[in-house]
Amino acid sequence: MIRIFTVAGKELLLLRRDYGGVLVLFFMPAVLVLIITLVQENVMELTGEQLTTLVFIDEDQGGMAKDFLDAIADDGSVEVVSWPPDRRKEALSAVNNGDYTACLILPAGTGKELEKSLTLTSQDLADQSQADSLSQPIVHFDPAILPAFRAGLLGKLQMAFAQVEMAEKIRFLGKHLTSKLMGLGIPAQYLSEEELGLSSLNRQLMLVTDQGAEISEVQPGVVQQNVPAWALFGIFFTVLPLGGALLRERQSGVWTRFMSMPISTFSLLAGKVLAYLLVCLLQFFVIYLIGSQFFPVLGLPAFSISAAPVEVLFIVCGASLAACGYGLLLGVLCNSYEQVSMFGSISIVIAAAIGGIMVPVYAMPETLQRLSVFSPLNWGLTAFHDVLIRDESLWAMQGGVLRLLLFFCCCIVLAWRMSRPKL
Amino acid sequence: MQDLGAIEMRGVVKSYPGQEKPALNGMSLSVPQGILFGLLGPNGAGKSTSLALLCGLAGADSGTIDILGRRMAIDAMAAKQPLGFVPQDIALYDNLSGRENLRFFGRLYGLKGEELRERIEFCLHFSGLTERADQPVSTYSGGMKRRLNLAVGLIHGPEILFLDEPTVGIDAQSRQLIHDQLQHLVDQGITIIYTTHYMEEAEQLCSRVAIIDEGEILAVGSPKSLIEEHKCRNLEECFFLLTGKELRD
Repeated sequence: MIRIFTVAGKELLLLRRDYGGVLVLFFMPAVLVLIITLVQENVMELTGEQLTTLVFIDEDQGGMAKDFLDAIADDGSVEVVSWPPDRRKEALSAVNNGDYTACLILPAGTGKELEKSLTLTSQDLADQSQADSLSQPIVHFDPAILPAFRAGLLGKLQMAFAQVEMAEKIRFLGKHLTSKLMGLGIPAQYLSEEELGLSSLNRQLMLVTDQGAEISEVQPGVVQQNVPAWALFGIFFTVLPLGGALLRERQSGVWTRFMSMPISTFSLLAGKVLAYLLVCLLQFFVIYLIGSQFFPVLGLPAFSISAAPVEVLFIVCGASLAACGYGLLLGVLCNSYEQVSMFGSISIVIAAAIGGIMVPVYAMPETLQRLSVFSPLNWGLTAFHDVLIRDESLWAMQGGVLRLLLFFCCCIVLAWRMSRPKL
Repeated sequence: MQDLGAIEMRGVVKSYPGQEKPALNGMSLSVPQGILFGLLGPNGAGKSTSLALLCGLAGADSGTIDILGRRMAIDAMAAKQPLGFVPQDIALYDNLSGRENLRFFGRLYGLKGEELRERIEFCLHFSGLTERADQPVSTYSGGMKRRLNLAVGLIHGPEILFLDEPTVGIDAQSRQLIHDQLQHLVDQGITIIYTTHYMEEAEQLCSRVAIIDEGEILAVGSPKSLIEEHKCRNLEECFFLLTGKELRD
């Protein structure tokens, strides 16, 4: 046992003096978590809540523009800047340059044509060309915006115009009912839709409620998903300094010296694992502190593990051991530091990509979704999601942790078998 | 009581996968205690394999190896305890100081407390590194590193010391210091097994040498007796006579 602690102490001492290694182990993951969360929070806001600026050109000059502006104002996420029709070219150029997200043009006669289309008889409607002749609002998007955001904004505009159309239809219905009453000989002057009791027709009554967000203690947002995901990514990057350290020992002859000493390979490997397990725990703690204390300062939601601190500790230990095992295996398999750094980092990025760290697994093609179950990062991430987002118990997340531990055992056995010096 | 030999190798065979001939072909060797024994041979003769098997870095396919009466194949840990091994490479941590390197390897050998401190001071003095003990090894010259490499092999006070070409690539002063210190160790009763390509060095230092080639021992004895037996002028001539002059790559 003393020998294991001796090896661990030496590893920590060497790490303390390797400023590059410390940078890779602590600073880089912390910055990565911060940047990625900020970026993704912004992307999520872009597709959901963030204020988007839209240039609006009203060539119609009727009442429809006001209805549209009222409807889009209800959404609250789109800021409309109205430009006069003679600046249409300028507006399109500004959107193309990325100064504005989109430009909406209401062509001349749109309102009148909508009114007219409401009076079409069923025979008129059968004549498709007459129905299709209606002028439609036109939108131009900044070519650089993401398709998801484009679809989101298009949906909001569509919804606003659905309200405009509905308002117009209700107005038409009011007039139509009035004229019908007069036709029946009932003396009536024009009745507004309020008088006719139709005003509630223009209100959206069916609203989908996010039940999960209401009952969960912790909001399953970008922070709760991103911090553990990128913390796992950082933990797995410890394979680089660990694999590199073992490789240097093999290349310098230190490992050969070890083999001539009355010390078991198990003690040597266990000492390294112990040192890097502590490093990984410290690394996660640093990331946790950033997530829980620093994120709120930046206006992000705080990262919280208060719902399942013990479970989180189990997962971090499992992931750290898996990373240590993989690092040691790389250290005995690779023959140069370039191999360790290239193969190590690329394999981790691939495992992260297919494991759902960068893009959620459900958003991947089916083949990749099947492959994701082979990624240790996916095991860790699934376990984190189980306890931090799905509010499941220690029992529920044990599958992921057990897989990580099994992966660690396989790597260690292979590393141990292959660690004999080449003669 | 029977005086145990430091090393007894009997009928040791070692083959590597993919190689037709075995690296060691039934080698037998007996090294008495308290001498400086030279293991000489051209490249690929089996020197490194012999050293690796004697130090427990690898296992033999057949045959037995006894270190001070302890059989390597049965109790490797006990057999390794009295061994010190100094690899040809500088097997040290560059980012640690000389003292930290000695302390780390000493602890791995189970030393602690006052005993460890004494051994560290002895090794630093032995290698002439007391003044630079607390500086990182990365700042040492080639000769200093090689001396520290040797000192680490001595940290636990071994009874048998294996040296794999300890004087390769160092200046004359460091080489002379190492020679003097090795002689000093032999005088203290330590057995030293030494491989080298420098025949003159072996002739000067070793009380017995074994010339090996193709995994077999061709001749064993004191340099003087081998020179006389083969009617040569020096050990190098004797070496060429036994192993030939063709290149071994």
